Amino acid sequence: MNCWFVFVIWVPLLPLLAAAGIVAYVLNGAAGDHGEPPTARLAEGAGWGALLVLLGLAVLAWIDGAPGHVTLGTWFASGRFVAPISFILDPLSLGFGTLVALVGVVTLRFARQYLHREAGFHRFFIGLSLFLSGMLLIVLAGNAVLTFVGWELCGISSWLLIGYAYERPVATGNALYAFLSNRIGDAGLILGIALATWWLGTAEWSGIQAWAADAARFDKVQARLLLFGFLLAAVAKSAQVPFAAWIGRALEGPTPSSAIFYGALMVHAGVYLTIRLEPVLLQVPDIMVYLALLGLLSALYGWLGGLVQTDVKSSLAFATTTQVGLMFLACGLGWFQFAAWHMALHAAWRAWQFLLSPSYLHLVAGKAKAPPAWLARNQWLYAAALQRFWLEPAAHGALTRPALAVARDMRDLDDNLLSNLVGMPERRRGGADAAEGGDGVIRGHGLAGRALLWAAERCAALERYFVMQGAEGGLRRALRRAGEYLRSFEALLEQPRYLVIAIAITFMVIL
Amino acid sequence: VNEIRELSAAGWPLLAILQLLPLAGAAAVLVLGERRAAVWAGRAFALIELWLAVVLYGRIDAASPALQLAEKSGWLPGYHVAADGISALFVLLCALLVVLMALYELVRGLARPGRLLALILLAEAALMGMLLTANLAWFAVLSLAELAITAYLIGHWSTSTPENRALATVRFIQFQAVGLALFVAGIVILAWGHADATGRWSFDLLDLARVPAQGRFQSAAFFLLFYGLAVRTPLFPLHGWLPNVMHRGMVSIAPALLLGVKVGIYAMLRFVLPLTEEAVIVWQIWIVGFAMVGVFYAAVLAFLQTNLRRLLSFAVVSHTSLIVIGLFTLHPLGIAGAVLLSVNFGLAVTVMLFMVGFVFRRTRTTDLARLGGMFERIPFIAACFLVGGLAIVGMPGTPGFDAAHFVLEAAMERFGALPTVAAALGNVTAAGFLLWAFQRAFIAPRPEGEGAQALERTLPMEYLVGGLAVAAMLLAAWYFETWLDLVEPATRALALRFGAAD
Repeated sequence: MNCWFVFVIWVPLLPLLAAAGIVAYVLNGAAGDHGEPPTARLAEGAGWGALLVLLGLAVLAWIDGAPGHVTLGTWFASGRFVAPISFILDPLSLGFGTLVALVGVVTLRFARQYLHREAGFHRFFIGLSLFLSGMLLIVLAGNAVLTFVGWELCGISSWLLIGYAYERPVATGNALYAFLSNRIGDAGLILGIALATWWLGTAEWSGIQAWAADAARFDKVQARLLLFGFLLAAVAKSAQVPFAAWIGRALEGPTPSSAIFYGALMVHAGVYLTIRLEPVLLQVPDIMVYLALLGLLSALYGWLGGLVQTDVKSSLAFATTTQVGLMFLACGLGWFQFAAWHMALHAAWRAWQFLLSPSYLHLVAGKAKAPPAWLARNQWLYAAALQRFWLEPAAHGALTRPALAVARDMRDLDDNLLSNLVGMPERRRGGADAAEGGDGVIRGHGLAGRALLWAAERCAALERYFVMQGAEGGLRRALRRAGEYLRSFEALLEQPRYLVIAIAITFMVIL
Repeated sequence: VNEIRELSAAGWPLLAILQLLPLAGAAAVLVLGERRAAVWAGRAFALIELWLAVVLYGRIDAASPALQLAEKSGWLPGYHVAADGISALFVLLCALLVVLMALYELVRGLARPGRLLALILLAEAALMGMLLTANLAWFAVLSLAELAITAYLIGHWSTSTPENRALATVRFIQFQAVGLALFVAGIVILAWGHADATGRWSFDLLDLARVPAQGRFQSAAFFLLFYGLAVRTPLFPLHGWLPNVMHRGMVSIAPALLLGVKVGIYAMLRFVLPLTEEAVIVWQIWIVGFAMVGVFYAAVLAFLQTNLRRLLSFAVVSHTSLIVIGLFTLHPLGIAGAVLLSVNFGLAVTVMLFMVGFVFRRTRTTDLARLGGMFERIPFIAACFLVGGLAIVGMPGTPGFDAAHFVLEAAMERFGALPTVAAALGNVTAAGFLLWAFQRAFIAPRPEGEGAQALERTLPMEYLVGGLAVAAMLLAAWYFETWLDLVEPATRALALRFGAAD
């Protein structure tokens, strides 16, 4: 292996350092018009640096042959689990990496003018540099752990830039929505990493690919679960059905960031991951069928939804979903190379379109095209397309509402049971409790205090009973209390969310 | 013992006709609309179906545990039906219940009787298919159809305010959708395992039994299938839909369709126990533990209810738990007892639901605080209700007595005295809340302000419906041996798979 290839580490590192540099610069009081050029120059310089290093490596790979897997050292290790700092340098990663750096540089250059005199000028460049670092790391990472780091950098910077105009509640709400949708995919990626480490003993992409090729070790069931995790991440990141709703909300950020995140680069991270998994996918054709169907579904969703959009950025976002869906379809059909070319061409083209979109007001004269007649005639389909196939309300009903309800129940449990148990000052519920508390001279706090009080009261009651014959309805009251508890328990069981929780608990126990 | 034998002896496709006849009946009734003739046609179809069920009973060789009269189709993918003594008994019960429903429906004076009857016949077709099919995918599709029909019934014929009706429908759909999804996931795991082992996808019971799933996958499949069916049955703690559906939904017909024919229990017998033997043995004790808790939990909650319909829903949860205890003794006696108990409970619950429906027709409420004093006006209905309750308690003279006896005896042998005593106590508790409910609804003095309108006397048709149902129940008890002989070989064969000694 040519020793020059170790320079690959600078590719993701340069934009990261640029981001750190801008932070330092801002803390040291960058302000005004003359504060802008150093920031822009730093970010652009890092972008150019990454691009040049990549170009150099590409030329080197052309002459010397691509080295494939490059390990630079160990990041951390614990027992069997080792996370090396390794990169994968093959035609796919070098090619796509160069494109990523190029689009990044172009966008940074564009943003310099576009965001001139914006309040968040520096913030924007920090976010974009972070993103560039993360995206390059995804493309070049030699193992799933590093990919995950890049994946998260992208997620965080996407959140930062959607919430760019943080004084508007819509922007922050949308940022949170997109971020949380992506977290579902992140969970899938973590699952994939964990399963790969557990079963295969490695999370290196080359190791996973070797495992897929080794008939003796390969296990179909393991492969399916592994793919489930990774593909969940891919589908969520690439905004495919059923996660497609987040991309519509993500356009809240400034146009250059929309261009680079949701038009050109980040949406393709999922496709890239899928292409990386090609050898495993080819072993499990049934998963490929699902992938193809999902891609087709997303393409249809994007196509129909795109027909009824009335603004440029939304139309472009739906078009992107369509094209990315077609890439997944191609992967599902086994045309991985085709998908890779499609990805590269689409990234370049869509970046240009998105960057051009603010100018459409000047470029386009006349009204927007009406949706086609066949769609306008079909009322149901039209409504569905306009409502984006109700993906958001469905997610709201299926996930958000039950989660909030469970949280409410937990708070009630905390307020009514646990706080009492540990002796926290409680909210009195009115007269009934005060009457039960006796004369109020003695008060027990906490479990021990209450237990003591309880024992004392029982002794007193016993005494009263024997000495003064004063027993009156205690058992009945206790029974009524127990009945009330049972009733509230039953009321919980009649909520479907507890059905789902009971099922989830069972499966945690048995598996 | 890994194979379920099968004899192909069908001269004419009796099982196909059993499934298609109600379908044809539904079509005929729908075409006739709301004319008088529609109702008569529906009844005629229901009666012919009952006759066919009797024919099936006659043609089953009860001495053999094998699946018989098998039919397969070359062009209908996965169509595979077969019957044994257990299915024959359930088919008889189902046909009988539908005849009763067809009679009951008009007496109650429900809206759009023609449409309703057509839907009942449709549901019967789906139920017959579920009871006869030997293909798990068919079972899932048919149960989707049956649940959709029932949801439609609850949504359109519920006798409550629109909000309550919506709540009942939504809860029903939410729970059943989860249950069905679990069941489908379970059969997909089984079929996937089969495809991995043999290279061919199949949902057929016989195919799947030949290649059992391994280890964790079997556990997962078992729990998916069991939970899916437990929602349907329903069992504690997955019973959440039932109280709402009973209380706020339709009074009698939809609950009778759901609870009268216990397809959940049937599917556990037919599919779950044979296909996931090892997992059943591993988790047996947990299932029984939950069922024991369920018996008491539901009984105590039944005591707390102030509405007769809601009370009955907890009675159902309580007694299905008892059936599951019987099933999971994995003892020949226990399984046979569970089968007969579920038929008995199905009949008994239907009788009680019909009587509650008759009461509701008069009072427009099932709130126990507003009932009472009805024994003097409608003694026959009250008596039928009481007989139904006694059958659930397992009174001697009802089929529940012998069946519950079997279950308890098997539990004694498998789990020892203490749990058995506990289960028996649970059943005694049922006696408590049912008799108390009877007292509050029928014997207690009529509350102030409710006595103003006089209650209508029992109608002749009500005598007929109640009488027929109770007679069927008493006959079943009288000829208990017959039914035992019918199911015993099949249940014994099933128990033998789990290494039962005798």
